[in-house]
Amino acid sequence: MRTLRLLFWLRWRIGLNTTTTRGRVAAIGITVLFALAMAPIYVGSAIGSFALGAKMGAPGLPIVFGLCQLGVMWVSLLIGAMGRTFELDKLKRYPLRPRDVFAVNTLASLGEPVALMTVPSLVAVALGIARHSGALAGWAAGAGGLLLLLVTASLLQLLLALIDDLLRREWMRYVAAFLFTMTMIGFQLAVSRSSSRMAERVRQAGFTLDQLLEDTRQAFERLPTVGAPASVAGAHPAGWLASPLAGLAVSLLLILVPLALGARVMAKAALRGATGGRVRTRASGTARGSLGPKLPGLSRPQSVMVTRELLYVVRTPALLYQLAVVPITAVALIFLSPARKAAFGFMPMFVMIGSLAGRNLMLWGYDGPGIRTLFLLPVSARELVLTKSVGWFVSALIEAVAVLGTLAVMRAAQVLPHLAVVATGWIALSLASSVLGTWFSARFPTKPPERGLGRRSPGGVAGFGALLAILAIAGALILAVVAARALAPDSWKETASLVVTTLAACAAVAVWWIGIDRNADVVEQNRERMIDVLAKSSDV
Amino acid sequence: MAETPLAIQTHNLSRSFGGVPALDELTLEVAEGSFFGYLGPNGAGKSTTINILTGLLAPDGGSARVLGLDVETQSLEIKRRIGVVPDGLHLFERLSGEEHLRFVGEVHGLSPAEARRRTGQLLEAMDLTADARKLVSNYSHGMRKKLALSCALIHEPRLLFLDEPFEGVDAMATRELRELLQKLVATRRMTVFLTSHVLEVVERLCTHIGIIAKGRLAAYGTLDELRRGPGGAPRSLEELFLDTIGATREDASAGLDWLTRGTEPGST
Repeated sequence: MRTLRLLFWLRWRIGLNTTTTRGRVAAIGITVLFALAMAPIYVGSAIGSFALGAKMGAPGLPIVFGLCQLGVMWVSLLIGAMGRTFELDKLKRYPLRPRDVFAVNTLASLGEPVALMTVPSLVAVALGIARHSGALAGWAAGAGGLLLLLVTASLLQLLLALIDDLLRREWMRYVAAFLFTMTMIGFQLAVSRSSSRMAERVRQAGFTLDQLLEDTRQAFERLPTVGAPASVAGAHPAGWLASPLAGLAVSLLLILVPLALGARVMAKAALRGATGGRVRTRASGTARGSLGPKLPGLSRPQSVMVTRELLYVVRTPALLYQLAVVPITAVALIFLSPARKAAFGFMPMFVMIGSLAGRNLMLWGYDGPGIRTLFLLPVSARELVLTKSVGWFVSALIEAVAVLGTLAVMRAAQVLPHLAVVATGWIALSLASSVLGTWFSARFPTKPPERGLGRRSPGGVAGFGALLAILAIAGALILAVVAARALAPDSWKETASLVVTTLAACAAVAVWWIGIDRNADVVEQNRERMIDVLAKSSDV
Repeated sequence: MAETPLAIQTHNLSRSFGGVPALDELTLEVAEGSFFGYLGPNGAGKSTTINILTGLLAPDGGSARVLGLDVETQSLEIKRRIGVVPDGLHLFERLSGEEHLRFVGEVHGLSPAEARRRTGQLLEAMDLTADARKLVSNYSHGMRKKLALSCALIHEPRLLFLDEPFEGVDAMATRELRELLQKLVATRRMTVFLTSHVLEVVERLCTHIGIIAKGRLAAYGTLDELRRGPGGAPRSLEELFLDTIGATREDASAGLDWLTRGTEPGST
């Protein structure tokens, strides 16, 4: 408790000392805005959960618990929504037990938005059960919900500790980026397969809601991470978890084992130090050549700057993960999506647009202390912005080639006729994203977490706004294409779409070119703040 | 003050942070080819001066010229002609030492072959060859200092800014760096602007000294001039420094009885 109190005090003081009143008011504003924007998801879920609890009573709990856990796990793995509030590296000089720090991180993670968004559903199902079976059953369901959140948070914290530990080994950074991407895809694959199987059975047996709920309940109650807390809450799942005592024992095990293991892993990782090691000779360029190839249209110093950007992408675990996760996920979705029915691979495109919208917002953040050296180099702010943008564009291009290439090969008949429209649309979006991301990351410099995979978006008022801005641009472009197709005669639909996206791409090129000068001014104006924010190491 | 040609010239240079002045109308001249020691207590404004002169900070008032160029309007030209070892180093952690040096060389306009040649020679001179392909994030503090100094030298700068270059560097490396710097000033007429809290090193290296306190220049001159105390009596640089900044604190440990009192045998 002492560690808990001290660490939360530390976080509170640091928060107060490093923000202005205006910033805090803005943060509250964006929290309310975010809560309102997400309301359809959690209010809708809460209404459904209440109805389920009132109809089925405690036996319906595994469904709500399972969906909540699935939601938290999926969102956390996909976008890194759950992080570690305190890093042992920063605290290891103090006489704190790793176990305590891990426990505090687990408790703190319950305050993450993704975890909080499940609370209305858990409360609602408890209220529904109270109506169905009485107040005592409702309280038991509430306690089970809390247990479920603790189990979920413990498991995720253990996963984060393992990821962090793996990423500190030079050779493992590459393996880890691949493995965890695969974990996430496997997770989606499992969900997709079981839901397909369920849908198939439902189709054969004739669809009834009760049948669907029953299948879902059975699927979730077999999972100990869901079944055990549900058992404590009075759901009496089938099998060995039927007894609430067994459920409680398993729940406690699922909290305490990750605590012991995670603390151990975290303590070992903190002693391991930062990622490092030797760099393969090939990465250093050829024997007599430059550090990197001379790029067309750029001077040699500018090309070398772009090379540095790309070396950073490959050698920074979080950037590498971000670069790998989107194409692999999108490609996996192409293979997994129920065939080849989804005309045009909507999901892969959505994942790619989401990546363009979020990945650009910490462009300067990953330079860390090196930002000061960047400003000491004899290159103008314009050149800095230009090379940063080109570096980012190259990494986005790798992403796009992987996704669009796979789409073109796997669904040639559906995709090839529209490839030109998609490619020009992508150019427009990525250039707009580059301009906005450069402006945002210079105007609101954000230091990414020093450990782990890191989040893609810096969050906050402006971060959320920037994310929405790119999504709005993407939406506007899609609407414009839809409108053009609606207005054009059948034989001209594709041409009309291409005209719209080409015009958008031309406009984006002009905006990008002008944006380089404008953003160079922003970088000049914010240089001191960027150094101040990015060159300092974080407190905890 | 120093005679022309001047490597550094500031006039009423001011800069404050949150209303607190870090530099208060600083006027300073450093002659080309001199080894200038810039001293002052913590928070006196030494790093702020370097940050303004190297184009990282904008002054609130006054003017500054480096190698005859204005720091506000010609900072790019200045950066091409200077080398900087900043306090805190701030290197690119995810480049190897070799890549870092080649990168800096090529960005300064050296041909790839020349950048590679100089990189090899500098790594050899700094005893970093064996660690050349390690990431900078794996370097020790002393290795980072040596790498930062190599980066500052690879393009043959005319003026070198060194902010605490010997802090955390072992005795042998300190001696090697000291000899290298002396050779650079003697043979290439390079100007060195050095800040350090190690007065012994400053005393051995510097030909000219400036002492800054509370953002103002409190003492300035050649080492020999300044070491002549009131009445011409010789004094050490430490005495000069303490006299200049008015360090007259009594017993700093007063009030720390709980820490400084003797421990009774057997007591806990």
